[in-house]
Amino acid sequence: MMNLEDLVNKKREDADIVHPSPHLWNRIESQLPADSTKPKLNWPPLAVAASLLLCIGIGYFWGKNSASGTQSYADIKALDPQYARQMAMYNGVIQEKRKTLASLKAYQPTLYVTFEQDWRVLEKSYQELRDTLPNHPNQEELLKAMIDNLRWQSDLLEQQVRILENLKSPPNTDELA
Amino acid sequence: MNWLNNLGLVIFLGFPAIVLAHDPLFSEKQKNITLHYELPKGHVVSVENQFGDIKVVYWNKEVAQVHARITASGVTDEKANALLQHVQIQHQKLDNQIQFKTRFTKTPTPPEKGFRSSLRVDYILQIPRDAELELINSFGDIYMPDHAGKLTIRQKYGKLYANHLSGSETDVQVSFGQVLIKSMQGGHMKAAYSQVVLDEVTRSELTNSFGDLHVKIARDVRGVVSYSSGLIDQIKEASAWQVNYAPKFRINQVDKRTKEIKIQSAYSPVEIPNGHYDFEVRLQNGQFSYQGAEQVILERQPKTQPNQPIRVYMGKVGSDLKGDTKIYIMSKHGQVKIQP
Repeated sequence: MMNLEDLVNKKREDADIVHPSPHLWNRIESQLPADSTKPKLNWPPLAVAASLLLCIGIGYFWGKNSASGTQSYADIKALDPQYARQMAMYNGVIQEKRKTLASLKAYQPTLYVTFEQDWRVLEKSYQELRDTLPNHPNQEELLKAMIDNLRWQSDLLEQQVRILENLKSPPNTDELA
Repeated sequence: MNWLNNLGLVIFLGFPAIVLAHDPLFSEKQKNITLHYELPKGHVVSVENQFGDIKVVYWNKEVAQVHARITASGVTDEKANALLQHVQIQHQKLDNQIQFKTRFTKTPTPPEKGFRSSLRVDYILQIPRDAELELINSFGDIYMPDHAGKLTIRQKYGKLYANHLSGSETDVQVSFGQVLIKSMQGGHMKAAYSQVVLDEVTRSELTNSFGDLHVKIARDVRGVVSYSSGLIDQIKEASAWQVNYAPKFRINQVDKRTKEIKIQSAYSPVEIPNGHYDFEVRLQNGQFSYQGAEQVILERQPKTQPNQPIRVYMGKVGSDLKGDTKIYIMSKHGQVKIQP
């Protein structure tokens, strides 16, 4: 008597022997509609132009942000690696806080513009120091001033973020007493 | 073997000291320059310096004189001497001004690694007491004695120490530094990114943007504080303050004779003292608190109009119900608190 396993194996072998007819595909193909070829991309020119513009825009902002976010400190590292490390650290913090600030822009766009002007002033002072640095006889004093400037920038951004976050979720305006 | 351990310790500790003691990589050279001009009445003495201090002293001659001491440090005598050549003291007499200016030229090659070079120029300026004066300095300090005449100071990356500045034409601007003034009786002081301590200010305009402002006694002061904390120990005459984005603004005491204090604040907590005065607090998206404050009588409060855009609290503080003082506060997005 054939057990269950043998029965299954026999049926499977039978199935392997049965092959589809070689004309089967031709029959199926003849029944398909004539225009069922690969779909064509048919974008209007404006959409293509918009896509290109979007790609260029993303590339521009990515490049711009990455350029400001990863400043090179090779010259400062050559003078003193510790100052270069501090600057890179502060720059990382500043970039992070600017991103946080930008993410809160929608809540107070006018205030954001004022805030941006305030930290741009500091950034300008930093750049002036940076431009004075090469070949200056008092480089250490300039570097200390640059570090102080970055600390001010970081503190300023922190304060601005705190203000915008408070505005986003304001405290209860009831009288406390 | 104990002596061997001791010897090892002596070598371990002593070697760096020996190396440092014999480090030949430092030389300091100095050059002194003295310049003077006769100072006719009405002429302004102008000194512009960098990387060094300016000290002003008075004498009884109608002459303006500077002693400039240039100090150069380098790894060798040669290099220190070469650095001295990178400083010029320019000076000239114009129609109504006598000028002394420090000019640095950049070194042609990068300075030594490890900051083993420096260049410093310190001035002692001697002038008659009533001279009109303009001081511009960066990366150094200014030491200013009592002064009653016209005074202009522009200070960056350094400290300003001043005694009593009593002229009505005092114009001080400081950034990235510190300011310590004993008294100011007129004029303007504008500071940014600085710690400012003023012992006494009268009839003056003050601005501090980012940093700290501490005024011990204020009389008739118009102040603007942005991003900066503000601490006023005592107000003795009417004052007006504009406070923006400040982490804290606090008045500790108000003299009974003070007529009026006006504070306009935005995004800043404001604290006023517990004393004897009338108050009017107008809030736009803010809070008013007098928890723990004694003898506060509210004459008007907006309980019945909670949804008003501007809520007004009026009342009195203290037992002196006939006091002359009134404090007005207009606060936008901030807390106003009467101290306990």
